[in-house]
Amino acid sequence: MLDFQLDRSTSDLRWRKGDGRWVCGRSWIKPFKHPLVEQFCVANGRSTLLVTRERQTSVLSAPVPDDVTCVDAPTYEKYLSEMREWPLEYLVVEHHHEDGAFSIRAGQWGSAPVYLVEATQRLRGTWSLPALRPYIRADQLNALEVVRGLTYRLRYSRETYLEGVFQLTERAEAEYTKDRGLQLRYPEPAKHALPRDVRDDVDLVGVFEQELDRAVTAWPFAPGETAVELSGGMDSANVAMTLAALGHRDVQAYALIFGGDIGEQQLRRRREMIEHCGFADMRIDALDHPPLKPFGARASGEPLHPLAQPYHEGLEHVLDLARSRGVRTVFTGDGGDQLFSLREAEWSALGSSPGRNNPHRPLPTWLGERAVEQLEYLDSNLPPATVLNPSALLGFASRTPQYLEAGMWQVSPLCSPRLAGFCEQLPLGWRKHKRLARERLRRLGFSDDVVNPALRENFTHVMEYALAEFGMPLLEKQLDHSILVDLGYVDADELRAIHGRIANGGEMDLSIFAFLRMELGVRGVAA
Amino acid sequence: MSLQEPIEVMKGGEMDEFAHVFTGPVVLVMAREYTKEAGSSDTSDEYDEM
Repeated sequence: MLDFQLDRSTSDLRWRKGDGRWVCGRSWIKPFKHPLVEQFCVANGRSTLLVTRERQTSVLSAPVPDDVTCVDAPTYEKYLSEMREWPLEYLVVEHHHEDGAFSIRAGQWGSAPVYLVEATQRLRGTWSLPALRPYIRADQLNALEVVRGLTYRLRYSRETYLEGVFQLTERAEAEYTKDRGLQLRYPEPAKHALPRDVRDDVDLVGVFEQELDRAVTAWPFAPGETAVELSGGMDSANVAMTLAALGHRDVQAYALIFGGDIGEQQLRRRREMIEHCGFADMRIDALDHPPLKPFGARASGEPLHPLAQPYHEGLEHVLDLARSRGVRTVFTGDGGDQLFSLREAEWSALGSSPGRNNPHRPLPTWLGERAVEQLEYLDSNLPPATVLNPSALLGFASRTPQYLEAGMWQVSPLCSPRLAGFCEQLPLGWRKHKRLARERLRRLGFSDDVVNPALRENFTHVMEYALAEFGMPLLEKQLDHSILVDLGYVDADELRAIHGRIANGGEMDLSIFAFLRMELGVRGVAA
Repeated sequence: MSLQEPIEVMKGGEMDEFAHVFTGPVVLVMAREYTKEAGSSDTSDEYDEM
């Protein structure tokens, strides 16, 4: 949510506001401009505190004018304390006048992460990895992060796939001083509750609805500027139904439509949801904008996050359409999977295993020696337990930049720590198969087609089509001059063999996408 | 110590925000779970619904 440069050599201590940013000597801070994001700056003669944060519904406006305000020490401390407790996303930068040091602290949401890189006498920070291109070299990759990405064994961490570029993770603090340069400090581990029994006569669906109301209304609602992702899945559907129940009819829904049999089911189910909500609707066919499509952002070599989601190309068109209709804020269903997730011990007791991020899923056969060497370190150097589920935080890191590039702010109420705190205490039977979310839709009167669809609506067949049409020729081309092959992360001979088998009628290997995504991502950002 | 091992047991009171919903003490752990799926599928399908 910030773009900044902090100069530790400056003797200037006076911050000023101008041209959409705060400036002090060669240091500057540019907050993301959006109605749901507010900024203020206070100074007490010894330090300056620059705050960027999501607005809360319960707090009507920034507590001080949109300029630098001088305050006494107790008032300054009050603002500092308030930010430690701020319940939504925030980032604070503090400039200590005595030694010229800076400290930067992130909030517990991690929904708009900032990346840090140290340059000569300066610390550059930004939400946009491509903005760090001047500091990036393609041959200086973080081996562990590259391998985590290639193998889908993603880990939430301050490390990024670029050596020397760090993510300021949730609740973490960065210090930038003249003596020691950049130092990063992880927070204390967050605590999470184990499941408990439900009291007799408690209406769990009713409690769930109350908590959803509370989560959705944490942010101010902007009529005419708000959309909701309504894929047809349980998560976004429950967010949309809460927006409708709160009386917000001036919402636009959108979705990527998957096509084929599941697309027909998706259209049918969404139609029922739209009729219930009364929202305007936007639809884009995913098969018209598949991953790796020629002239799409990824295939064109545009600088994207190397883990940009498979539906990045489709979402680009959706967001263009939404923006043309005045949308600035998007409610998503992100966090829904995590809300009802089962713990590893619960999966084991069921004799099953989870899909995405399944630690037991097969490794790609095309890993190079350098990648194989890293596998035993996959769980090294991780942060302590996070407030939000780490897979939700990983999702934010790969998705949020696309919204910000489009000038939009995404809001994900299903990640609300309080809502998650409620759901993590549910007995397994209410979390498994998202039973509570389904029961809520059933109570609203939806058909069994909506509540328990026969087909699983996902992106797999779009990906299979994309890889067959565009991934295969791209693979052949990239292997001739692959950065990841040259650096030893990928075995080119094995990938060529896979390419040959598929070209001769063999089954598609979806792991090809992991290679292409990372290769094109590295090439795009480090070009 | 396992991350799933209880580190604190809260026996109710003001800190138990959901005492009206659940019975028994709140048992806290330092969980670090990467599981995303909610149990709707036991496949190894990484391309979920949006």
